[in-house]
Amino acid sequence: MLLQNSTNPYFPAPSEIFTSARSTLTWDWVSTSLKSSLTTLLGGYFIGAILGILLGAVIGSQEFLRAVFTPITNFIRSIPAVAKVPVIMALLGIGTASRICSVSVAVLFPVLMVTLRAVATTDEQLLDNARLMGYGTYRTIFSVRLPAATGQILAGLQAAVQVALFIMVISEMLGSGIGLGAFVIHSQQTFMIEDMWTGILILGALGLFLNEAFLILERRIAPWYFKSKEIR
Amino acid sequence: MKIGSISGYEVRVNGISMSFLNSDSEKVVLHDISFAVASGEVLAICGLSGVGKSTLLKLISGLSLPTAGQVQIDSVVVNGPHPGLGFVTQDYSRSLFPWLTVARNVALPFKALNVSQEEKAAKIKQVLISVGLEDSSHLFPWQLSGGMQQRVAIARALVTQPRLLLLDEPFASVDAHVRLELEDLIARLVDEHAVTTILVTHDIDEAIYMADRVITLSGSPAGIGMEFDVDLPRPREQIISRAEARFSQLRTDLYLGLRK
Ligand SMILES: Nc1ncnc2c1ncn2[C@@H]1O[C@H](COP(=O)(O)OP(=O)(O)OP(=O)(O)O)[C@@H](O)[C@H]1O
Ligand SMILES: [Mg+2]
Repeated sequence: MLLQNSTNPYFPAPSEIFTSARSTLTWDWVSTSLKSSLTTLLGGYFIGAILGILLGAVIGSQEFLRAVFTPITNFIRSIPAVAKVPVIMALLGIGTASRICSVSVAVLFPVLMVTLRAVATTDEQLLDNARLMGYGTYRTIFSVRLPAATGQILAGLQAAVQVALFIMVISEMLGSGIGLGAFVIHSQQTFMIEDMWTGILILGALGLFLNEAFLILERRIAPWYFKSKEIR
Repeated sequence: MKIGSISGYEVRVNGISMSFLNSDSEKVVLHDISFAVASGEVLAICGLSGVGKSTLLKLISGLSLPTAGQVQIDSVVVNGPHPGLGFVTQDYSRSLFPWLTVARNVALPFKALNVSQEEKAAKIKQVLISVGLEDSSHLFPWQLSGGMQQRVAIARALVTQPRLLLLDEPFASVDAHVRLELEDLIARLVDEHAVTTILVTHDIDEAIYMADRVITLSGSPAGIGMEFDVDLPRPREQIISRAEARFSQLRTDLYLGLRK
C-alpha cells in the first residue's frame, strides 16, 4: 500500500512493475531469461540430487568408505556454496554448463550428507532381515537402506530447492548475462528499476512454485511415507 | 499343503559363549552352552526375561557370531546367515518393511531365490490364507494391528518352506484364540515338512504343548538350567492334550525349574 504512490526510484509502484512487465521487449527478455534459469535450476538440481543420493547411499553403507570420505566431504562442504561458484567458473567458463555445475555442486553436498547419515543408521532389524534373505550389498543399499531413509532424504531434497535457487541467481549474476539473476542485476545497473522488480517478483514466484511442486511430487514418490507418518 | 521331500536341518550348539562389549566392561551373557536339535524336532527354550534367549537364537541364525564355541547346521559351521532359515524376531514390527504391502513383505524372501512368478504367487496366497491375512494383502504394515503384523512376520518366515524355523516369542501379540490357531498351524507344518523348530517362549503351557523337548536358560551368565523331553503323544490337540495329567505334571516341573 505504501508503494502505491511511491516516489523513491528504487521502489516503484506495483502498477508500474506490471506495465513494464507487459512491454514486449521486457517480456521477451524475461521469458528467455526464465527458460535459461529453469534449465540451470532443474538441470543442476537433478544432477546434484541424484549424485548426492547415490554417493551418499554407497558411502554411507560401507564403514571404510565413510571413514575415508567423511573428512573430505566435510571440508568441501564447509566452503560456502557461493564461494565455489567462481572456482567452477574459472574451471568451466561462464556458459550454461558451468551454471548447471554450480547448482549441482551446491545441491550435491547437503543431499549427500543427509543421505549418508540416514543410510548409515538403518534399523538393525531391517538389515538383519535383509541378511537372512540373502540380499547382497547392492540390493541391501537400494532395496533396504535407501527406502528406509526416505523421510530424511526428502527433507534434505526440500532444503536443497532453496539452495539451488540461490546459487542459480548468484551464478547468473556473476557470469553470463543470461538468466533471471543476470536480468535483475543488469536492470539494476541500467536503472531499469521496474524491470529489476519484475525479475525479483518472478524469482519469488519461482521459489514458491518450486516448493509447492516439491510438496506435491514427494507425495507421489513416497505415498506410504506420508500416510504412515500421518503427515498432511 | 504338499509334503515336501526336504527334511529339517540338524542343529548342534557346541560350547558357545557370548559377551557384549559395553563402554567400559565386558558383559558375559551366555556361558558354555551345548545342546543339539535333531532333524524335525521342536525345541522350546524358556527362561526369565533378560537371560539371553534372543541372543542365543540370533547366534543360531548366524546373524551374530559367538565369542567362543560354534553352531553347526547339518555339520556345517555357521559363520553367517544360513540359507533355508525362517526367523521370526521378537521385535517383529521393526522387521517388516514399512514401504511394502503385506503381500510384498511376504514376497521378500523370494528375491534372492530362483522361483517362477506363478509358484511365488501361489505360495504367498497360500501362506496368507494359513495365517488368516488373505484379505489384508494390499495393506501396509502400519495399517495393521500388532497381532496382524506378527502374523505377517510369521508368514514371511514360512513362505519359502524353511528347513529350520527360529521363533522368538512369535505369538506374544496375538489374542488367545489366534494364538492357539497359530500354534496349531506351526505344529501342522512342522509335522508335514519335518521342519526343525526352535521356539523361544515365556509361556510354559505353550512350550510344553509345542515342543518335543524343553530347555531352560538360567543364571548370569546363562547356562542350561534344565532339559527334559515332552513325552506327550502326537498329534496333539489343544483341549485334550492340555487336559492330560502328564501335561500338568510337566508344566509344574517347568514352572518350578524356572523359579529356582
Ligand atoms: N547388542 C547388545 N549389546 C549389549 N548387550 C546386549 C545386546 N543384546 C543383548 N544384550 C544383553 O544380553 C542380555 C540378554 O538379552 P536377550 O535379549 O537375549 O534376553 P532375552 O532372554 O531374550 O529377554 P526377553 O525375554 O526379555 O526377550 C541382556 O542383559 C541384554 O542387556
Ligand atoms: Mg528376547
